[in-house]
Amino acid sequence: MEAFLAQVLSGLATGGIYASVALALVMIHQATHLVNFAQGEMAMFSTYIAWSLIHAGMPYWAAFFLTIAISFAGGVVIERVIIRPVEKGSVLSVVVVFIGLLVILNAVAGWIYSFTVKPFPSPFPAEPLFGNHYLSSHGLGAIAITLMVVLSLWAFFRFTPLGLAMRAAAQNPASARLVGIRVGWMKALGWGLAAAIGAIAGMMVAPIVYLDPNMMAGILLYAFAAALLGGIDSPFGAVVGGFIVGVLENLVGTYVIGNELKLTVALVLIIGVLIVKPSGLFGRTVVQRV
Amino acid sequence: MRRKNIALAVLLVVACALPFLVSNFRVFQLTMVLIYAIVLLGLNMLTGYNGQISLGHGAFYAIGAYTAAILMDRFGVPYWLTIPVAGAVCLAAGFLFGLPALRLEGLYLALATFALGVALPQLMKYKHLEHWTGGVQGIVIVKPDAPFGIPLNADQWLYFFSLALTVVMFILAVNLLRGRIGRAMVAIRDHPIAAGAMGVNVAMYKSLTFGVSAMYTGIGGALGAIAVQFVAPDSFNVFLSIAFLVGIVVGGLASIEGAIFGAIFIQFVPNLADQISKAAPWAIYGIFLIAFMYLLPGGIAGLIKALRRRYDR
Amino acid sequence: MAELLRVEGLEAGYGPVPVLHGIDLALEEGGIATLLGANGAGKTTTLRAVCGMVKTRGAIRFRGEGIEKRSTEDIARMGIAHVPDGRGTFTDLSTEENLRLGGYVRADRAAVAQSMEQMYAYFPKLAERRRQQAGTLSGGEQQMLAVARALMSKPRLLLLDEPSFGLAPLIVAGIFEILRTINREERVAILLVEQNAAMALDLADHAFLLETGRIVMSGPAARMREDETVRRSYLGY
Repeated sequence: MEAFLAQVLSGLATGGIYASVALALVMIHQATHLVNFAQGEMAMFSTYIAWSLIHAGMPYWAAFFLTIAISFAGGVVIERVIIRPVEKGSVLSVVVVFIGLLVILNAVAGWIYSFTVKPFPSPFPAEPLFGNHYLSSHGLGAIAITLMVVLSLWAFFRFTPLGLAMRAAAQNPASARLVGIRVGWMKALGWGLAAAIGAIAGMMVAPIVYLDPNMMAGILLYAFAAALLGGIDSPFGAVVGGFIVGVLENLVGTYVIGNELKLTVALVLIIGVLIVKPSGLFGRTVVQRV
Repeated sequence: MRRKNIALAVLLVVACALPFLVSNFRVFQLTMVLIYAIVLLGLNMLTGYNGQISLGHGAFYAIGAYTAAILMDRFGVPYWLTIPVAGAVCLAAGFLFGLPALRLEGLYLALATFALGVALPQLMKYKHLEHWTGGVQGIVIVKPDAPFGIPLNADQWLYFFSLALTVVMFILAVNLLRGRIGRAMVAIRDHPIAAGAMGVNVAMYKSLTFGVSAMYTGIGGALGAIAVQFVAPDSFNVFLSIAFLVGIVVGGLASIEGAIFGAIFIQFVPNLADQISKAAPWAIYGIFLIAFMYLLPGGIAGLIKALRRRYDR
Repeated sequence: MAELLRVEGLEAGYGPVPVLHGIDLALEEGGIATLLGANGAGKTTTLRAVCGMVKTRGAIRFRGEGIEKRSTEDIARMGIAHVPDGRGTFTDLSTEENLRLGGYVRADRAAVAQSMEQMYAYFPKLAERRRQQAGTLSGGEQQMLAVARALMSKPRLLLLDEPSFGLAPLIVAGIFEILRTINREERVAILLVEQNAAMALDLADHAFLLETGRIVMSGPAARMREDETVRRSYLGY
C-alpha cells in the first residue's frame, strides 16, 4: 500500500511536469491551431540557459526568473520571425518548419554544451518533508510550482484585459480585429507564455533526469498524450491530462509491463485518443463544415 | 522527351562505371545513396503526392531492416529473398497503420507518426522481444559475395544489386505516379472532399498509398541492413525519420527525381559537416528545412524545373 | 457638415472573383446612410472593404485620411466600428466580456465602465444576462450585444451589416430606435446595409442602391422612397 501511494505521488510530481508542457502545447494550439513539435527542445534550451546562469554564479531563483524572462522573449521572437511567414501556408510547410526548429535547437545545444549529461540543481532540500517515504521534496516542490503556474495563468486569462484579448483572439480572430486587437501580437504573446512555461517544466525535470540535449523527447511525447487526452483546446484538460498520464505511467510501468515500454504506452495513448475520441476528455468536438 | 532519355542513359552508364573508379568505401556510400533514393521515393509518395505527413517512416525502415536481419541471421534465408519479404511485411504494416491513420488529418497524423518514431527504439529494445531482435546489441549479418563467381567484390556486387533494384522501383513509381493513380493521389491531397465526390475511393487510396510507401521504405531498410551489416535499435530513432523528411524537402516534394537529389544530400552532407563539428550536420538539416520551406518549396527538383523553363525559351 | 467617409472608385473581390466594380459613396459626420440592394449585390463586401477585410483598389478616405492600406485592427482603432453579418459575437465569452472587449482600445478604464452602464441602460436585456455565455443569448439579444459592443469603442462611424436579419419586427424596431437615439445624442455616423429597405429608408438620411457591384442610384432617403423602381423592386408596392 505504501509503495502504491508512493508511485501515485511521484506520478503526480512527474505528471505536473507533463501538465506544464501540455499546457504550453494547448496554449499555442488554442491561439494558432498549430501543434508545436519543438516545444520540448525549446524547454530543453531554456534549461541550458538556466544552467549557464547558475554556473556563472547566479543564485538559483535569480537564474530561474531570468530564464523565464529570456524564454518568454525567445518565444515571442520565434513566433514573429520563424513561424509567422508559414502560418498561412500548408500544413506540411508548418510541420517542416517546426521540425527544423526542433533540430536546430537540439544541435545548437549539443554544440554549445556538448552531449555529455550534466547534473542540474534543485532548489528544494534533499531530505523528504517530515522524512516521509512517499514523495521527495523536489517532487512536492514540482507539484507546488505546477499548481502555482496553472493558477497564475488562470487568473491572467480570467481577470486581466490582455488575457481577455488573447482569449478573444484565439476564439474568433476576425471579430477580435474588429475591436482593435492586434491578433498577430496575441499569437506571439501566446508563444512567449508557452516558452516560459516550458522553461519552468524543464528546470523542474532536469534535476530528476539530468540535463542533456535529448532530455525532453520522451517528456514531449507524454505531454502530447496528456494534451490530447485532456482535449487539445482545453487548458484545464491539459493539466488534468498531465496528472493522469503521470500517474498512469508510473502505475503501468511498475505493475503491468515494466519500465521499458513507457514510451510505447504514450504512443498507444496518443493513437488511441486520436482515433477513439479526438476531442479528448474536456475538449469540444469540432464539426468540419464542408 | 528524347533529351531526357539520353540524359537517363548517360546517367545509367556513369552509375555502372562508378564502382570501378572509386574506393570500396565510396562504393558503400553510393550504395547508401541508392538505398535512400528508394526510401525517399516511398516517403515522397505518401507525403509529397498524397499529402499524408509522416514523421515516423524510420519505423518502416527499421521493420524492413530487422526483417532482413532476422531472416538472414536466425533462419539462414538468402539475402536476395529477404528483400521481397521485407517489402511484403512493410506493405502489410503500412496498410494496417494507414487504416486508423485515415481518421487523422494533417497535423494529427504528423503527431501520431512522430510518436511512432520516438517510441520505436524503446520497443525494439524490449526484453521479451530480445530473442528475435537481439536487444540493445542488435544483430550482425554478413554482406553476400557476388554469385556465380562474377569478378566483383562484395561492395561492388551489392552496389549493382541495389542499382538494379533502384531502377525497377523507379520505373514502378513512374508508372504509378504519372498515371491515373498518381492523379488520384494528388487530388486527394489537394481537395479530398471534391475527390471523394468525384468517385475516388479516398479511404482505399490513402491506405494503399501508406502501404506502398511503407513497402518502398522497408525494401530500402532491408538493403540498408545488408549494406551496413548491422541492425540495432538506436540507429532507428526519430532522427532517422527526420533525416528522411529533410531528404524529400531538399530533393523536392512530389517529384520522382527529387528522391535522388535528396538521397545524395542526406548521405553526403553529414559526412562533410561532421568535419566542422559533431552538431553541425543537424544544424544544417534544420536550417535547410526552414530555408527550403521559405525559399525553395519545390526543392532542388523544383529549382531545376524552374531554371529549365527559363532557359528553354 | 464635415465629410467623414468618402469612397471613390472602389473595386474589391474575393480572390479571382470581382464583386465591386467601382463604387463611389460619401457620408458626412453624424449622418445616416443606407446601402440597399439584392443578395449578392456587394453590400457586405463594401463594408468589409472599408474595414480592410478584403483586397481593394480605389480610394477610401476616413476623416480625410486614406485607409485603403490599413489593417482591420488599425481601422478599428481609428474610430470605425463594424457590426458584421452573423454578428461576430464571441460566443464562448460572457455578455459582459464581450462588452469589455468592445472597449478594448480605450485607455480610460473608468470611462469604459461608464460606457458599459450606458449600454445596459440602452439594452436592459443585456444587463439581465451580463454573466451569461454570449452564445446562449437569443438572436435579438445577440444583435443587441453586437451593436452595444461596437458602441463601446465610442466610434465616429458605425457600420451595420443586416442588423434585422432573422429577427422579429418588434425587436428590429427597438434596435433601430436605439440607433436613432445614439445618432442623435452621440453624433455617431451610421452606414447601414439592409435588406429591409422600408425600415432602412425610414432611418437613413441618404440612400445608395447597389446592383451587381455598381451604384445605380443614390439620393436623399425620402426621394428614394418615392422612386418608382425602388418601390417596385425593394419596397414591394
